[in-house]
Amino acid sequence: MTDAPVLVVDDLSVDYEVAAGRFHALSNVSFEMLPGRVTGIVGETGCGKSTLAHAIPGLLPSPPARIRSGKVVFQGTDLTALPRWKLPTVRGTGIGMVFQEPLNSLNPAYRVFDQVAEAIRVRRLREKGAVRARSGGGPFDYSRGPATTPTSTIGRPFLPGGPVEERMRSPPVRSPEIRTEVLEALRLVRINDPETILRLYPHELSGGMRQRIMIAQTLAERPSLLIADEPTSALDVTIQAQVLTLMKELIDEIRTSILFISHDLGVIAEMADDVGVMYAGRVIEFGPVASVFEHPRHPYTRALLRAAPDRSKADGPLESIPGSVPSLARLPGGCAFHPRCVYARPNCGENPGPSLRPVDPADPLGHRSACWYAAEIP
Amino acid sequence: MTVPPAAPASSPPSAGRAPLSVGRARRVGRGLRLLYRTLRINPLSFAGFVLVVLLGATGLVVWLVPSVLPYPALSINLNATNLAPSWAHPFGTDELGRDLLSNVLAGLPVDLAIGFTIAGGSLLFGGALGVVAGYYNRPRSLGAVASMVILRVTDLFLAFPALILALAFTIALGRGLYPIVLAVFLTWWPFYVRLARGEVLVVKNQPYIAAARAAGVSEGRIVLRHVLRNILEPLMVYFTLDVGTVIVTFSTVAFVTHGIQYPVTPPVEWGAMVAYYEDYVTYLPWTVLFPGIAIFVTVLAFSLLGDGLRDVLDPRTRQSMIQVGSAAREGRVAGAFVAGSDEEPPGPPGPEASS
Amino acid sequence: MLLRSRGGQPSGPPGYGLSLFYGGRLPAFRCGPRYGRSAPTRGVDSTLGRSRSDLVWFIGKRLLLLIPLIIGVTAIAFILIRIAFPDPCVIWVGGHAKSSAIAACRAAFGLNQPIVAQYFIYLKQFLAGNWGVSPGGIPVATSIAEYFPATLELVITALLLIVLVGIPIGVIAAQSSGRWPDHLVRIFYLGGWATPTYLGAIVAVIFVAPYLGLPTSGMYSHSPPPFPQPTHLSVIDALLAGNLPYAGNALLHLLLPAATLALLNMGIVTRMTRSSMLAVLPLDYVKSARMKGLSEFLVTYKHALRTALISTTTVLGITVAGLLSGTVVVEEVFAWPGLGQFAYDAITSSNVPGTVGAAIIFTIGAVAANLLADILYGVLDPKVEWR
Repeated sequence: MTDAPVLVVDDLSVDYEVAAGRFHALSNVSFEMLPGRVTGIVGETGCGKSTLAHAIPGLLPSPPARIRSGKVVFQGTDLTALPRWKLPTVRGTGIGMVFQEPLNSLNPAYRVFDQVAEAIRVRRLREKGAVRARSGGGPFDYSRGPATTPTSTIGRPFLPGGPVEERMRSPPVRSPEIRTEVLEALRLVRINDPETILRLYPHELSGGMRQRIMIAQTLAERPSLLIADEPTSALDVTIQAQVLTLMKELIDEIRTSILFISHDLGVIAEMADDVGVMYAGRVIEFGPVASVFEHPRHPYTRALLRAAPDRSKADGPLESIPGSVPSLARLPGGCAFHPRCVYARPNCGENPGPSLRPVDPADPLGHRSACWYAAEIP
Repeated sequence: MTVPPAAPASSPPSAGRAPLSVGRARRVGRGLRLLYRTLRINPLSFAGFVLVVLLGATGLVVWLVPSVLPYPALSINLNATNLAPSWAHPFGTDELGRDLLSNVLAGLPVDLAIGFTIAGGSLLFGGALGVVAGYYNRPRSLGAVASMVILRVTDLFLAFPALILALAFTIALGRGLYPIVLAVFLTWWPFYVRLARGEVLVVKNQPYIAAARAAGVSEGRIVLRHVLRNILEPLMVYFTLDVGTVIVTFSTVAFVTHGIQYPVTPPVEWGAMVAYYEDYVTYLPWTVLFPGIAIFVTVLAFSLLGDGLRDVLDPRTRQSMIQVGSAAREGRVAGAFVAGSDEEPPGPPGPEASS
Repeated sequence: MLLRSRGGQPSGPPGYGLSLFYGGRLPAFRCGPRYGRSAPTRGVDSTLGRSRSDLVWFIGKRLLLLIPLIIGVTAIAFILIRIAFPDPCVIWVGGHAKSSAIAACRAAFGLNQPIVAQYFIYLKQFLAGNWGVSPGGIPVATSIAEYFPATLELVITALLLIVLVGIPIGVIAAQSSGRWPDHLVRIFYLGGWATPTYLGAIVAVIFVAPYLGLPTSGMYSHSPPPFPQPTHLSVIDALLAGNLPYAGNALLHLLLPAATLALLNMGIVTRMTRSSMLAVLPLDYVKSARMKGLSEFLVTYKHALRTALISTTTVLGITVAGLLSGTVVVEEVFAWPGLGQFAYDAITSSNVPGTVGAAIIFTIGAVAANLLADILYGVLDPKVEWR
C-alpha cells in the first residue's frame, strides 16, 4: 500500500484531571488508518474507546481532559497542535462522526430538514472557501478557517471538485437545490419516504430512524474520515442489524475511511478491514482483521475471542476472563493485563508493557502486538 | 458525620430519588452533607454561608443583649446631628443625632425575624395545603374537590405580581408593622402550595410508597412518615433562601407605605428606615446608604447560599454535580495510587490468574 | 398559574432552577430534563406535525382560560375594598348622619344585598369601566388609561435589555462553569436580586446619573412636548411627530429607569439560561453540531441556546411581573409619569379605588405576559402539541 495514511495517531496519551488527581484514559495509543479502509476498535466498556473517538476531532472537554503527549495527524496536519478556533474547519468535511446515542444526537428543536440542510450548506461553503477567501467571507461564515487561511493545508485536500471558479455563495436553505440534496442524502440511507421525514422533529422518529438521519447528515458533508462511535449499541437488536447492513452497504458505496468503534467482536469482524484491540487505555493489538482474529498475538485478544459466544457451538461452555477490568484510576504496574493473564511471567509485572511491535519483522505495518511474549501464544 | 443505627426492618425498601431515611440523626446528616457538598464545590456559596452565620449570630447578640449597641437605638442626641461617618459614629448620624450604626444593628434581628416568620409561616401553611392538594387527588373524592379548590385559589393569588398584591393587602389591612407582616404572608403562602404539591406528586409515585401501602401502612402514616419526610429537603432549601426574598419584599412594602405607616420617627426596620431618610439623601447620603447596604448584604448572603444549594438539588444540574463528585472521589484514589505507584512493587499475579 | 397548568401531573421533579426566586410559581413539568431522556417513539405517527389552524386553537384555548381568572382577580379586589371600607356609606354620608340616611345610601348602592350580589354589582361596574373615583375627582379608569402606556414603554424597554444582556451572560456563565466569569456573573445577578428596588433606583439617581450625565426625571427635558401625544409612548410620540431631537431626548430619559429595572430583575432569566445551558451543553447533539464543522459561536447560539431558551421562556412571565412591580418604586423615584407612579401616589394617599384599579391592571399585565410566554413556549418547543 503506497497511499499516505488518512490518519496517524502517534503515541497519544490523554489524562482526566479531576479535583484530587488524574488518571490515564489513553496511554501511548498508536495506529494509522489507510484511505478507504475500515478500521475497527474493539474493547470492553471503559477501556478508552470513546475517549479515543472524541480525542481525534478534538471533542474532549478541556477542563477534565488533557492531552499529555502524542499527535493526531489528519491528512498531514497535527490536530492536537491546531488552535481551537481552527478545529471546526477540520470537522464535518474532514472528519465526520456518528454518535452512540441516536436519541440525543439530533437537535430536538429543529426539523430533520434543517439539520441535514445545515450540514450540506457547511460543505458547500467549504467548497467555495478558497474563492470566498479572496473575495471576503459571506454573511454565513460557518468556518472562520478557510476564509482567513486560504493557503492552509487544511480545507484543501478534502475539497472534492477543487476550488470553484466564480464567486458565489451557497444557495439559501430553502432553495430547491439544497432540498434536492437533502432528499438525496436521506435516500442514501434507505429512507423510503424522505418527503415526510424531513418535515418531522427528531422526537417524532424512532431510534433507528434517527440514527439513519445522523448517518445521512454526516455523510452529506462527504468526510474523508468517518468516526462511528458504537453507532448501533443503543438500538434494539433488529434495528441494529438493519443499521449495520446499511452501513456495510454504504462502506462499499462511498469508499471513505471509517473508524468503527464497537464492543462487539462480531460486528467488527463483519465490518472492518483492520482492527485495534484496546485494554485499559492502550491499543494492545493491531492488524488486519483476519490475522488478528484468526491468530491473536496478545493474550487479552485471545481470551476475548474465546469468551465470545459462538453460535456454531451452542452447547459449549463459555469461557470467561478471570478477574475484572481494572479501573483506570487503579491500573496495576507493569503490563496492565498481567494480573489476569494466563501466560504472565514474573517480569510482566515489572516491565511496563511494550508498545506495539510487529509480529512479523518483515511487515512493520502489519499485525502488531504489545505483548513481550507475542510469539509464544498458541 | 455519625451514622445512626440501621433502619428498622419494617421500613419499606427505599428506591427512587431519595433513600428513605429513618431517624433524625440521618436526616440531619443528609442535610449537612448537602450543605457540605455545596460549600465545597462552590466558593460563593461558602461566602454566603459564612455571612449568614455571622449575621445570625450578630442578630442574636443584639436581640438578647441590646447594650452591645454603641448607643441605644433611636436615642436622640442633639449635640451630634448630621455627622458624616467617623470613628465615633461609623455609619454617621441623622438630623436628630441618632447613631445610624446602632439603628442598623437594631434592625438586624427585626428584619431576620420578619424574614423567618413570614417564610416559616408560609412554609407551614402553604406546605400543608400543598401536601393535601398533591396527595389527595383521587378522582371524585372529597380530597379531589378540596385539592381543586386549593389549587384554584393558589392560581388566583399567583396571578398577581407579588409586590402589588402585598401592597394592596397592606392598604386594606391598616397601619403598623404587623399588617405588613400579614400582608406579605398572605402573598407568600401560595408559592409553597405549588412547590410542596410538585414534590408530593413526584414522591407519591415512588415505589416505596406503593410498598408501604402494600405492607398495610395507613394513609395518614404514609403521608406523615414517608411523603412528608422526603419532600422536606427541597422545601427547607427553598425556605433558606426565601428568607432573603421575603426581607426584600417586606422592606419594599415598608418603603412604599412608609408615608402612611410611620410619619414621625424612623422605625428599626431597614426598608422603612430608608424611606424615612429618603428626603435627606442628597445631603446625608449615609443615612440611606447604610440601611440599604444592610438589606443588600443580608439578602445577598441568603441568595449566595441558596443559589449553590439549588444547583445541587436541581435535577438537571444534579447529574453533572454527581459526576463531578464521583470523578473527584475516583481522582483522589487515582492520585493516591499514582503517588504511591513508584515504590509499590508490582504484585504477583493474582491466584485466580494462575488457574 | 392557571394558564400553565395544562392538565396532567408533573413528569419530573419540580424546577428548582427557578424557584430560587419564585418557588413553585411554575409547574414542575416545564423544567424537567426534557431533552435527552425522551422515550423512543416507534416509527412515524401520522397524526404528528403542527399546522397553523392548530396554533389558533392552541392560543384560543389559553385565552378562554383568562375569563375565570379575571373573575377571580376582581373578586379579590372586591374583598380588599370591602376590608378597607366595611361600610362605605358611613364615610360617604358621614358618621353622624341619621341612620335613615345611611340606610338610604346602602339601598341606593346595593349594600344591603347579600355579599355575592354586591360582588356582581361591582363586577358589572368594573366591566362597564367604572372603577371608582380618586379623591381628586378624576375617574380611576381615565387616569389608568393615560398612565399605562408610559409603564408599558418602560417595561418593554427593560425586558429588551434583559433579553439582550441577561441571556448572553447566562450563556457565558454556563460555558465557563466553575471559573471566574461564572462567579462574576452569579455575583452580578444575585447582587441585582438582593438590591431592593428603591435602593437601586435611589443609587442610580443620586450616584450614577451625574457621572453618566443622564436625566433622571420625567419623559422629556421640556414637558409637555410641542406635539400631540396620541400613544403616550414618549419615543413613539416624538417619532410620530417627526421630532428627532425630542425622540433622542426621550430615549435618554428612558435609558436609566429601564436599565435600573432591568438590572434588578435580570436574575431569574440569567439563572435559568445558565442552568439550562449547563444541562444542554454536554448533550450529544451539541457535539454533533460541533462535528458538522460549525463554529463555536453557531454551536452555542444556534444549537445549544435554541433548546435552552425553551426553559428560559417559562420565566419570562415572572420577570414581567417583577418588572411591573418594580415600576411602582422606579417610576416614583424617576418621576416617570406611568401607572407605577399613579399606584405609588394612590397607596401613599390611601386612595383605595386607585390602588385596587392599578393592582388589577398590573395583574392583567402579568397574566397577559404569562399568556404570551406560554404561547411562545408552545411555539418554541416542538414537543408541545397544539391540539
